[in-house]
Amino acid sequence: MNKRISGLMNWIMRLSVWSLLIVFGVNLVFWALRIILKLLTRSHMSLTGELTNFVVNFGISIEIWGVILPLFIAYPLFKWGIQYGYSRWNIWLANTASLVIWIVVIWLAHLLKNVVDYQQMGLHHATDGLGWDLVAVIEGVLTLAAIGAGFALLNRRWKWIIGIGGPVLAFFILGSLIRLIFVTFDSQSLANFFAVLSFNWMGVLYGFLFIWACLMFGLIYLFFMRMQLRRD
Amino acid sequence: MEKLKVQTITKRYGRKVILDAVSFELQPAKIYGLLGRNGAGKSTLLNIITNRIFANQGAVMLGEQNVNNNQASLGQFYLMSEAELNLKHTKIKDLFSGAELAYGNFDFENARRMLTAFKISEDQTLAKLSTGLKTAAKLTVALNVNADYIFLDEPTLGLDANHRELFYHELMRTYGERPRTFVISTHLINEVQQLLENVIILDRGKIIVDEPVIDLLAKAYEISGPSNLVDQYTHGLKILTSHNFSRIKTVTVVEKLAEQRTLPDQVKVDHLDLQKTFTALTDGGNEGE
Repeated sequence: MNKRISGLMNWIMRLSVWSLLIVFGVNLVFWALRIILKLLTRSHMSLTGELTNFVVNFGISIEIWGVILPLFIAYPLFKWGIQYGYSRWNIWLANTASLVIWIVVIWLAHLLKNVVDYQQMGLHHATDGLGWDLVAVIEGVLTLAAIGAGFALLNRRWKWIIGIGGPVLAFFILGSLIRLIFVTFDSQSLANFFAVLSFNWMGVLYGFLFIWACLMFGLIYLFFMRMQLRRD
Repeated sequence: MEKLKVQTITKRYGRKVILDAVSFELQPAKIYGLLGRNGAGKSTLLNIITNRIFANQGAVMLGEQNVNNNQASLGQFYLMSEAELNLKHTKIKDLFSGAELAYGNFDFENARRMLTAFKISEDQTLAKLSTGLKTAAKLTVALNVNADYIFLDEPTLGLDANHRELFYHELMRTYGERPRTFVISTHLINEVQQLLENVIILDRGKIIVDEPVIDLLAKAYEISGPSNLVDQYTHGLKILTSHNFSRIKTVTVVEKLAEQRTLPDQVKVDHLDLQKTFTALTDGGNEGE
Protein backbone atom coordinates (compact mmCIF):
# COMPACT_ATOMS: atom_id res chain seq x y z
CA MET A 1 0.00 0.00 0.00
CA ASN A 2 1.65 3.24 -1.08
CA LYS A 3 1.71 6.33 1.08
CA ARG A 4 -1.04 8.11 -0.82
CA ILE A 5 -3.47 5.19 -0.56
CA SER A 6 -2.69 4.97 3.12
CA GLY A 7 -3.98 8.55 3.51
CA LEU A 8 -7.31 7.60 1.97
CA MET A 9 -7.46 4.36 3.94
CA ASN A 10 -6.72 6.28 7.11
CA TRP A 11 -9.73 8.52 6.41
CA ILE A 12 -12.08 5.62 5.67
CA MET A 13 -10.94 3.58 8.62
CA ARG A 14 -11.30 6.48 11.03
CA LEU A 15 -14.83 7.02 9.79
CA SER A 16 -15.55 3.29 10.02
CA VAL A 17 -14.18 2.99 13.55
CA TRP A 18 -16.15 6.04 14.70
CA SER A 19 -19.37 4.71 13.23
CA LEU A 20 -18.61 1.27 14.70
CA LEU A 21 -18.11 2.86 18.11
CA ILE A 22 -21.48 4.58 17.77
CA VAL A 23 -23.08 1.23 16.86
CA PHE A 24 -21.38 -0.33 19.89
CA GLY A 25 -22.48 2.53 22.14
CA VAL A 26 -26.12 2.32 21.00
CA ASN A 27 -26.09 -1.44 21.59
CA LEU A 28 -24.54 -0.95 25.00
CA VAL A 29 -27.16 1.62 25.99
CA PHE A 30 -30.05 -0.63 24.90
CA TRP A 31 -28.44 -3.60 26.64
CA ALA A 32 -27.99 -1.60 29.85
CA LEU A 33 -31.62 -0.39 29.69
CA ARG A 34 -32.76 -3.98 29.25
CA ILE A 35 -30.74 -5.07 32.29
CA ILE A 36 -32.05 -2.16 34.37
CA LEU A 37 -35.63 -2.97 33.32
CA LYS A 38 -35.14 -6.60 34.28
CA LEU A 39 -33.66 -5.60 37.65
CA LEU A 40 -36.56 -3.25 38.31
CA THR A 41 -39.17 -5.84 37.38
CA ARG A 42 -37.17 -8.58 39.15
CA SER A 43 -37.34 -10.76 36.06
CA HIS A 44 -35.24 -13.88 35.77
CA MET A 45 -31.81 -13.05 34.41
CA SER A 46 -28.51 -14.85 33.86
CA LEU A 47 -25.23 -13.09 33.15
CA THR A 48 -24.26 -15.61 30.43
CA GLY A 49 -27.63 -15.21 28.75
CA GLU A 50 -27.44 -11.43 28.81
CA LEU A 51 -23.87 -11.41 27.49
CA THR A 52 -24.93 -13.79 24.71
CA ASN A 53 -27.79 -11.45 23.85
CA PHE A 54 -25.42 -8.51 23.73
CA VAL A 55 -22.95 -10.30 21.43
CA VAL A 56 -25.78 -11.50 19.14
CA ASN A 57 -27.39 -8.06 18.90
CA PHE A 58 -24.04 -6.38 18.38
CA GLY A 59 -23.21 -8.91 15.67
CA ILE A 60 -26.51 -8.21 13.89
CA SER A 61 -25.90 -4.45 14.19
CA ILE A 62 -22.43 -4.82 12.65
CA GLU A 63 -23.94 -6.81 9.80
CA ILE A 64 -26.48 -4.07 9.12
CA TRP A 65 -23.89 -1.31 9.61
CA GLY A 66 -21.38 -2.99 7.34
CA VAL A 67 -23.82 -3.41 4.49
CA ILE A 68 -25.32 0.09 4.78
CA LEU A 69 -22.00 1.97 5.20
CA PRO A 70 -20.83 1.45 1.57
CA LEU A 71 -24.09 3.04 0.45
CA PHE A 72 -23.10 6.37 1.98
CA ILE A 73 -19.32 6.41 1.75
CA ALA A 74 -18.62 6.89 -1.98
CA TYR A 75 -19.25 10.62 -2.39
CA PRO A 76 -17.73 11.81 0.92
CA LEU A 77 -14.66 9.70 0.14
CA PHE A 78 -14.47 11.17 -3.36
CA LYS A 79 -14.83 14.73 -2.01
CA TRP A 80 -12.13 14.21 0.59
CA GLY A 81 -9.82 12.50 -1.88
CA ILE A 82 -10.21 15.12 -4.59
CA GLN A 83 -9.56 17.91 -2.04
CA TYR A 84 -6.15 16.38 -1.29
CA GLY A 85 -5.14 15.71 -4.89
CA TYR A 86 -5.92 12.00 -5.11
CA SER A 87 -6.70 10.55 -8.51
CA ARG A 88 -10.01 8.77 -9.13
CA TRP A 89 -8.08 5.54 -9.58
CA ASN A 90 -6.55 5.81 -6.09
CA ILE A 91 -9.89 6.79 -4.56
CA TRP A 92 -11.50 3.75 -6.17
CA LEU A 93 -8.63 1.56 -5.00
CA ALA A 94 -9.05 2.76 -1.41
CA ASN A 95 -12.80 2.22 -1.64
CA THR A 96 -12.21 -1.33 -2.89
CA ALA A 97 -9.75 -2.06 -0.07
CA SER A 98 -12.26 -0.77 2.45
CA LEU A 99 -14.99 -2.97 0.96
CA VAL A 100 -12.74 -6.00 1.48
CA ILE A 101 -12.12 -4.97 5.09
CA TRP A 102 -15.84 -4.44 5.74
CA ILE A 103 -16.68 -7.81 4.20
CA VAL A 104 -14.17 -9.52 6.51
CA VAL A 105 -15.42 -7.58 9.56
CA ILE A 106 -19.08 -8.40 8.84
CA TRP A 107 -18.22 -12.03 8.25
CA LEU A 108 -16.20 -12.21 11.49
CA ALA A 109 -19.08 -10.55 13.35
CA HIS A 110 -21.38 -13.18 11.88
CA LEU A 111 -18.97 -15.90 12.96
CA LEU A 112 -18.80 -14.42 16.48
CA LYS A 113 -22.58 -14.34 16.62
CA ASN A 114 -22.69 -18.00 15.52
CA VAL A 115 -20.09 -19.04 18.09
CA VAL A 116 -22.20 -17.81 20.99
CA ASP A 117 -25.58 -18.62 19.53
CA TYR A 118 -25.32 -21.45 16.99
CA GLN A 119 -27.46 -23.84 18.99
CA GLN A 120 -30.37 -21.44 19.17
CA MET A 121 -30.04 -20.89 15.43
CA GLY A 122 -30.49 -24.62 14.85
CA LEU A 123 -26.93 -25.16 13.64
CA HIS A 124 -24.83 -28.20 14.51
CA HIS A 125 -21.65 -26.20 14.54
CA ALA A 126 -20.68 -22.53 14.69
CA THR A 127 -19.04 -22.69 11.27
CA ASP A 128 -22.05 -24.22 9.49
CA GLY A 129 -23.00 -22.28 6.35
CA LEU A 130 -20.21 -19.76 6.78
CA GLY A 131 -19.22 -20.07 3.13
CA TRP A 132 -22.69 -19.08 1.98
CA ASP A 133 -22.78 -16.33 4.56
CA LEU A 134 -19.57 -14.94 3.10
CA VAL A 135 -21.06 -15.04 -0.40
CA ALA A 136 -24.17 -13.25 0.85
CA VAL A 137 -22.07 -10.58 2.54
CA ILE A 138 -19.96 -10.06 -0.62
CA GLU A 139 -23.07 -9.75 -2.79
CA GLY A 140 -24.79 -7.41 -0.35
CA VAL A 141 -21.80 -5.14 0.20
CA LEU A 142 -20.97 -4.93 -3.52
CA THR A 143 -24.58 -4.23 -4.49
CA LEU A 144 -25.03 -1.41 -1.97
CA ALA A 145 -21.58 -0.01 -2.78
CA ALA A 146 -22.57 0.10 -6.47
CA ILE A 147 -25.87 1.84 -5.62
CA GLY A 148 -23.99 4.30 -3.38
CA ALA A 149 -21.41 5.07 -6.08
CA GLY A 150 -24.17 5.41 -8.68
CA PHE A 151 -26.11 7.83 -6.49
CA ALA A 152 -22.94 9.87 -6.02
CA LEU A 153 -23.21 10.84 -9.69
CA LEU A 154 -26.70 12.23 -9.29
CA ASN A 155 -27.83 15.58 -8.01
CA ARG A 156 -30.53 15.84 -5.35
CA ARG A 157 -33.46 15.94 -7.79
CA TRP A 158 -32.28 12.89 -9.76
CA LYS A 159 -31.58 11.03 -6.51
CA TRP A 160 -35.27 11.33 -5.68
CA ILE A 161 -36.37 10.40 -9.19
CA ILE A 162 -34.10 7.35 -9.43
CA GLY A 163 -34.55 6.42 -5.76
CA ILE A 164 -38.32 6.16 -6.10
CA GLY A 165 -38.68 5.50 -9.82
CA GLY A 166 -35.90 2.89 -9.97
CA PRO A 167 -37.45 0.29 -7.65
CA VAL A 168 -40.94 0.90 -9.13
CA LEU A 169 -39.56 0.37 -12.63
CA ALA A 170 -37.61 -2.71 -11.51
CA PHE A 171 -40.77 -4.29 -10.02
CA PHE A 172 -42.75 -3.43 -13.15
CA ILE A 173 -40.11 -4.93 -15.47
CA LEU A 174 -39.77 -8.04 -13.27
CA GLY A 175 -43.55 -8.48 -13.13
CA SER A 176 -43.90 -8.00 -16.90
CA LEU A 177 -41.07 -10.45 -17.51
CA ILE A 178 -42.70 -13.13 -15.37
CA ARG A 179 -46.05 -12.53 -17.07
CA LEU A 180 -44.38 -12.69 -20.47
CA ILE A 181 -42.73 -16.01 -19.61
CA PHE A 182 -46.05 -17.52 -18.54
CA VAL A 183 -47.86 -16.14 -21.59
CA THR A 184 -45.17 -17.17 -24.08
CA PHE A 185 -44.39 -20.67 -22.86
CA ASP A 186 -46.89 -23.46 -22.19
CA SER A 187 -46.88 -25.18 -18.85
CA GLN A 188 -44.99 -28.24 -20.16
CA SER A 189 -42.11 -26.15 -21.50
CA LEU A 190 -41.95 -24.24 -18.24
CA ALA A 191 -41.97 -27.47 -16.25
CA ASN A 192 -39.10 -28.80 -18.40
CA PHE A 193 -37.21 -25.52 -18.01
CA PHE A 194 -37.53 -25.54 -14.21
CA ALA A 195 -36.63 -29.23 -14.13
CA VAL A 196 -33.35 -28.47 -15.93
CA LEU A 197 -32.84 -25.47 -13.68
CA SER A 198 -33.42 -27.45 -10.50
CA PHE A 199 -31.15 -30.21 -11.74
CA ASN A 200 -28.39 -27.63 -12.19
CA TRP A 201 -29.60 -25.06 -9.71
CA MET A 202 -26.37 -24.84 -7.73
CA GLY A 203 -24.44 -24.24 -10.92
CA VAL A 204 -26.98 -21.62 -12.05
CA LEU A 205 -26.86 -19.94 -8.67
CA TYR A 206 -23.05 -19.89 -8.56
CA GLY A 207 -22.98 -18.53 -12.08
CA PHE A 208 -25.59 -15.87 -11.35
CA LEU A 209 -23.89 -14.76 -8.13
CA PHE A 210 -20.52 -14.61 -9.83
CA ILE A 211 -21.86 -12.58 -12.74
CA TRP A 212 -23.77 -10.29 -10.34
CA ALA A 213 -20.65 -9.67 -8.21
CA CYS A 214 -18.58 -8.93 -11.33
CA LEU A 215 -21.29 -6.60 -12.65
CA MET A 216 -21.47 -4.68 -9.36
CA PHE A 217 -17.67 -4.50 -9.16
CA GLY A 218 -17.52 -3.17 -12.71
CA LEU A 219 -20.26 -0.62 -12.02
CA ILE A 220 -18.45 0.65 -8.91
CA TYR A 221 -15.31 1.17 -11.00
CA LEU A 222 -17.26 2.89 -13.78
CA PHE A 223 -19.10 5.19 -11.37
CA PHE A 224 -15.92 6.18 -9.53
CA MET A 225 -14.18 7.03 -12.80
CA ARG A 226 -17.11 9.27 -13.79
CA MET A 227 -17.55 10.94 -10.40
CA GLN A 228 -17.40 14.74 -10.34
CA LEU A 229 -17.82 17.44 -7.76
CA ARG A 230 -21.53 18.24 -7.80
CA ARG A 231 -22.89 21.76 -7.65
CA ASP A 232 -25.75 20.94 -5.21
CA MET B 1 8.55 22.16 -11.57
CA GLU B 2 6.89 21.85 -14.94
CA LYS B 3 4.69 24.21 -16.89
CA LEU B 4 0.93 23.77 -16.60
CA LYS B 5 -0.85 24.04 -19.92
CA VAL B 6 -4.59 24.53 -20.27
CA GLN B 7 -5.47 23.54 -23.81
CA THR B 8 -8.73 24.64 -25.46
CA ILE B 9 -10.93 23.80 -22.49
CA THR B 10 -14.64 24.00 -23.19
CA LYS B 11 -17.28 23.45 -20.54
CA ARG B 12 -21.02 23.53 -21.04
CA TYR B 13 -23.83 23.16 -18.52
CA GLY B 14 -26.78 22.18 -20.65
CA ARG B 15 -26.79 24.66 -23.53
CA LYS B 16 -24.92 27.33 -21.63
CA VAL B 17 -21.25 27.60 -22.54
CA ILE B 18 -19.29 28.42 -19.38
CA LEU B 19 -15.79 28.13 -20.85
CA ASP B 20 -15.22 28.50 -24.56
CA ALA B 21 -11.95 26.97 -25.82
CA VAL B 22 -9.88 28.50 -23.03
CA SER B 23 -6.11 28.14 -23.39
CA PHE B 24 -3.22 29.52 -21.35
CA GLU B 25 -0.07 28.44 -19.56
CA LEU B 26 1.06 28.76 -15.97
CA GLN B 27 4.77 29.09 -15.41
CA PRO B 28 6.45 27.59 -12.34
CA ALA B 29 6.96 29.81 -9.31
CA LYS B 30 4.84 32.80 -10.27
CA ILE B 31 1.83 34.45 -8.69
CA TYR B 32 -1.14 34.75 -11.01
CA GLY B 33 -4.40 36.57 -10.60
CA LEU B 34 -7.40 34.91 -12.19
CA LEU B 35 -9.97 37.65 -12.53
CA GLY B 36 -13.47 37.66 -13.90
CA ARG B 37 -16.94 38.90 -13.12
CA ASN B 38 -19.45 36.71 -11.31
CA GLY B 39 -20.31 33.74 -13.49
CA ALA B 40 -17.31 34.25 -15.78
CA GLY B 41 -16.21 30.64 -15.20
CA LYS B 42 -13.27 31.11 -12.80
CA SER B 43 -14.31 28.42 -10.29
CA THR B 44 -15.30 26.06 -13.09
CA LEU B 45 -11.88 26.52 -14.66
CA LEU B 46 -10.07 25.83 -11.38
CA ASN B 47 -12.24 22.77 -10.78
CA ILE B 48 -11.36 21.45 -14.24
CA ILE B 49 -7.63 22.08 -13.76
CA THR B 50 -7.66 20.13 -10.50
CA ASN B 51 -9.76 17.35 -12.09
CA ARG B 52 -12.72 17.87 -9.76
CA ILE B 53 -15.01 18.13 -12.76
CA PHE B 54 -14.60 17.13 -16.39
CA ALA B 55 -14.34 19.47 -19.36
CA ASN B 56 -16.45 18.77 -22.43
CA GLN B 57 -13.41 19.36 -24.60
CA GLY B 58 -9.72 20.11 -24.19
CA ALA B 59 -7.02 18.95 -21.82
CA VAL B 60 -4.94 20.13 -18.89
CA MET B 61 -1.30 19.12 -19.17
CA LEU B 62 1.47 19.27 -16.59
CA GLY B 63 4.61 19.09 -18.68
CA GLU B 64 3.76 16.39 -21.20
CA GLN B 65 1.32 14.54 -18.92
CA ASN B 66 -2.45 14.86 -19.08
CA VAL B 67 -3.53 15.52 -15.49
CA ASN B 68 -6.83 13.63 -15.82
CA ASN B 69 -6.77 10.79 -13.27
CA ASN B 70 -3.00 11.16 -13.09
CA GLN B 71 -1.77 10.83 -9.53
CA ALA B 72 1.70 12.19 -10.20
CA SER B 73 0.25 15.41 -11.63
CA LEU B 74 -2.72 15.85 -9.31
CA GLY B 75 -0.41 15.34 -6.33
CA GLN B 76 1.23 18.65 -7.24
CA PHE B 77 -2.03 20.63 -7.14
CA TYR B 78 -3.95 22.01 -4.19
CA LEU B 79 -7.19 23.94 -4.59
CA MET B 80 -8.62 25.91 -1.70
CA SER B 81 -12.17 26.92 -2.44
CA GLU B 82 -15.45 27.82 -0.85
CA ALA B 83 -16.70 24.25 -1.41
CA GLU B 84 -16.67 22.28 1.82
CA LEU B 85 -15.13 18.92 0.95
CA ASN B 86 -14.18 17.86 4.44
CA LEU B 87 -16.77 16.48 6.83
CA LYS B 88 -18.36 19.19 8.97
CA HIS B 89 -16.96 17.88 12.23
CA THR B 90 -13.38 17.63 11.02
CA LYS B 91 -10.88 19.21 13.39
CA ILE B 92 -8.33 21.67 12.05
CA LYS B 93 -5.50 19.37 13.11
CA ASP B 94 -7.08 16.64 10.97
CA LEU B 95 -6.91 18.96 7.96
CA PHE B 96 -3.19 19.25 8.64
CA SER B 97 -2.69 15.50 8.97
CA GLY B 98 -4.76 14.94 5.81
CA ALA B 99 -2.43 17.29 3.92
CA GLU B 100 0.61 15.59 5.43
CA LEU B 101 -0.63 12.12 4.45
CA ALA B 102 -1.48 13.21 0.94
CA TYR B 103 1.40 15.52 0.03
CA GLY B 104 4.04 14.90 2.70
CA ASN B 105 6.28 17.56 4.30
CA PHE B 106 3.41 19.68 5.58
CA ASP B 107 4.83 22.66 7.46
CA PHE B 108 3.19 22.00 10.82
CA GLU B 109 5.27 24.58 12.63
CA ASN B 110 4.32 27.44 10.33
CA ALA B 111 0.71 26.25 10.19
CA ARG B 112 0.44 26.36 13.99
CA ARG B 113 2.02 29.82 14.03
CA MET B 114 -0.52 31.01 11.45
CA LEU B 115 -3.40 29.51 13.40
CA THR B 116 -2.27 31.37 16.50
CA ALA B 117 -2.16 34.59 14.47
CA PHE B 118 -5.69 33.91 13.21
CA LYS B 119 -6.71 33.04 16.78
CA ILE B 120 -7.95 29.57 15.93
CA SER B 121 -7.34 26.43 17.97
CA GLU B 122 -6.15 23.25 16.26
CA ASP B 123 -8.81 21.31 18.14
CA GLN B 124 -11.72 23.34 16.81
CA THR B 125 -13.97 21.70 14.24
CA LEU B 126 -14.91 23.36 10.96
CA ALA B 127 -18.57 23.33 11.99
CA LYS B 128 -17.83 25.63 14.92
CA LEU B 129 -15.97 28.27 12.94
CA SER B 130 -17.47 31.38 11.38
CA THR B 131 -17.19 31.79 7.59
CA GLY B 132 -14.14 34.02 7.98
CA LEU B 133 -12.33 31.73 10.38
CA LYS B 134 -13.16 28.72 8.23
CA THR B 135 -11.50 30.53 5.33
CA ALA B 136 -8.53 31.34 7.57
CA ALA B 137 -8.19 27.67 8.53
CA LYS B 138 -8.36 26.58 4.90
CA LEU B 139 -5.77 29.21 3.94
CA THR B 140 -3.49 27.91 6.66
CA VAL B 141 -3.61 24.47 5.03
CA ALA B 142 -3.18 25.91 1.53
CA LEU B 143 -0.12 27.99 2.40
CA ASN B 144 1.64 25.13 4.18
CA VAL B 145 0.84 22.20 1.92
CA ASN B 146 3.66 20.70 -0.11
CA ALA B 147 2.26 21.29 -3.62
CA ASP B 148 3.82 23.08 -6.58
CA TYR B 149 0.60 24.64 -7.84
CA ILE B 150 -1.72 26.22 -5.30
CA PHE B 151 -5.06 27.58 -6.46
CA LEU B 152 -6.91 29.94 -4.16
CA ASP B 153 -10.53 30.46 -5.15
CA GLU B 154 -11.99 33.44 -3.24
CA PRO B 155 -9.33 33.19 -0.52
CA THR B 156 -10.63 36.22 1.34
CA LEU B 157 -14.25 35.12 1.66
CA GLY B 158 -15.51 36.40 5.00
CA LEU B 159 -12.08 37.55 6.20
CA ASP B 160 -11.98 40.87 8.00
CA ALA B 161 -9.46 43.53 6.94
CA ASN B 162 -6.91 42.48 9.57
CA HIS B 163 -7.04 38.84 8.57
CA ARG B 164 -6.81 39.76 4.90
CA GLU B 165 -3.64 41.74 5.62
CA LEU B 166 -2.30 38.76 7.54
CA PHE B 167 -3.08 36.45 4.64
CA TYR B 168 -1.31 38.67 2.09
CA HIS B 169 1.68 38.88 4.42
CA GLU B 170 1.79 35.10 4.93
CA LEU B 171 1.41 34.48 1.22
CA MET B 172 4.43 36.64 0.39
CA ARG B 173 6.37 35.09 3.23
CA THR B 174 5.78 31.50 2.12
CA TYR B 175 6.34 32.45 -1.52
CA GLY B 176 9.66 34.05 -0.57
CA GLU B 177 10.75 31.00 1.39
CA ARG B 178 9.65 28.47 -1.20
CA PRO B 179 8.61 29.92 -4.54
CA ARG B 180 5.79 27.97 -6.18
CA THR B 181 2.89 28.88 -8.41
CA PHE B 182 -0.10 30.55 -6.80
CA VAL B 183 -3.28 31.33 -8.72
CA ILE B 184 -5.53 33.74 -6.85
CA SER B 185 -9.10 34.14 -7.99
CA THR B 186 -10.67 37.10 -6.25
CA HIS B 187 -12.89 40.13 -6.63
CA LEU B 188 -10.75 42.24 -4.28
CA ILE B 189 -8.53 43.33 -7.12
CA ASN B 190 -7.04 46.44 -5.53
CA GLU B 191 -5.89 44.45 -2.54
CA VAL B 192 -4.06 41.77 -4.52
CA GLN B 193 -2.64 43.98 -7.25
CA GLN B 194 0.71 44.34 -5.49
CA LEU B 195 1.02 40.57 -5.10
CA LEU B 196 0.38 39.56 -8.68
CA GLU B 197 3.01 39.07 -11.33
CA ASN B 198 0.67 37.93 -14.10
CA VAL B 199 -3.01 38.36 -14.68
CA ILE B 200 -5.51 36.24 -16.54
CA ILE B 201 -8.89 37.83 -17.15
CA LEU B 202 -11.86 35.69 -18.06
CA ASP B 203 -14.88 37.31 -19.62
CA ARG B 204 -17.95 35.39 -20.73
CA GLY B 205 -16.03 32.13 -20.90
CA LYS B 206 -13.07 33.49 -22.87
CA ILE B 207 -9.61 34.68 -21.90
CA ILE B 208 -9.33 38.34 -22.79
CA VAL B 209 -6.06 39.11 -20.98
CA ASP B 210 -3.10 36.86 -20.19
CA GLU B 211 0.02 38.88 -19.52
CA PRO B 212 2.24 40.36 -16.82
CA VAL B 213 0.42 42.93 -14.68
CA ILE B 214 3.12 45.50 -15.33
CA ASP B 215 2.68 45.19 -19.12
CA LEU B 216 -1.09 45.44 -18.87
CA LEU B 217 -1.01 48.51 -16.64
CA ALA B 218 1.62 50.17 -18.84
CA LYS B 219 -1.00 50.42 -21.61
CA ALA B 220 -4.10 51.05 -19.52
CA TYR B 221 -5.13 54.71 -19.57
CA GLU B 222 -7.85 57.01 -18.46
CA ILE B 223 -8.06 60.04 -20.75
CA SER B 224 -10.13 63.02 -19.73
CA GLY B 225 -10.74 66.52 -20.88
CA PRO B 226 -13.07 68.59 -23.08
CA SER B 227 -15.19 66.24 -25.12
CA ASN B 228 -14.06 67.38 -28.56
CA LEU B 229 -10.35 67.27 -27.64
CA VAL B 230 -10.67 63.80 -26.08
CA ASP B 231 -12.42 62.57 -29.23
CA GLN B 232 -9.70 64.10 -31.36
CA TYR B 233 -6.91 62.61 -29.26
CA THR B 234 -8.43 59.13 -29.05
CA HIS B 235 -9.39 58.94 -32.70
CA GLY B 236 -8.69 55.42 -33.96
CA LEU B 237 -8.32 53.94 -30.46
CA LYS B 238 -10.67 51.32 -29.05
CA ILE B 239 -12.63 53.09 -26.34
CA LEU B 240 -13.61 50.66 -23.60
CA THR B 241 -15.66 52.96 -21.40
CA SER B 242 -16.77 56.52 -21.88
CA HIS B 243 -18.42 58.94 -19.45
CA ASN B 244 -19.57 62.47 -20.03
CA PHE B 245 -19.99 64.98 -17.25
CA SER B 246 -21.06 68.36 -18.48
CA ARG B 247 -18.55 69.07 -21.30
CA ILE B 248 -15.86 66.90 -19.76
CA LYS B 249 -15.39 63.45 -21.22
CA THR B 250 -13.51 60.57 -19.60
CA VAL B 251 -12.63 57.48 -21.58
CA THR B 252 -10.57 54.38 -20.86
CA VAL B 253 -8.35 52.61 -23.35
CA VAL B 254 -6.15 49.58 -22.97
CA GLU B 255 -3.64 49.80 -25.78
CA LYS B 256 -0.33 51.49 -26.41
CA LEU B 257 -0.52 55.18 -27.21
CA ALA B 258 1.67 56.03 -30.14
CA GLU B 259 4.31 58.63 -29.29
CA GLN B 260 3.49 60.73 -32.35
CA ARG B 261 -0.01 61.25 -30.97
CA THR B 262 -0.01 64.85 -29.74
CA LEU B 263 -1.58 65.44 -26.36
CA PRO B 264 -3.63 68.66 -26.25
CA ASP B 265 -2.90 70.90 -23.24
CA GLN B 266 -6.36 70.49 -21.77
CA VAL B 267 -6.41 66.67 -22.02
CA LYS B 268 -5.12 64.62 -19.11
CA VAL B 269 -3.83 61.05 -19.41
CA ASP B 270 -3.51 58.88 -16.29
CA HIS B 271 -2.58 55.26 -15.84
CA LEU B 272 -5.35 52.97 -14.59
CA ASP B 273 -4.93 50.65 -11.64
CA LEU B 274 -5.71 46.95 -12.08
CA GLN B 275 -9.28 47.18 -10.82
CA LYS B 276 -10.18 50.02 -13.19
CA THR B 277 -8.47 48.22 -16.05
CA PHE B 278 -10.43 45.11 -15.22
CA THR B 279 -13.78 46.92 -15.08
CA ALA B 280 -13.00 48.73 -18.33
CA LEU B 281 -12.16 45.47 -20.07
CA THR B 282 -15.10 43.52 -18.71
CA ASP B 283 -17.83 46.15 -19.08
CA GLY B 284 -18.21 44.79 -22.59
CA GLY B 285 -17.41 48.08 -24.24
CA ASN B 286 -20.51 49.72 -22.75
CA GLU B 287 -20.41 53.36 -23.42
CA GLY B 288 -22.11 54.88 -20.43
CA GLU B 289 -23.00 58.32 -21.67
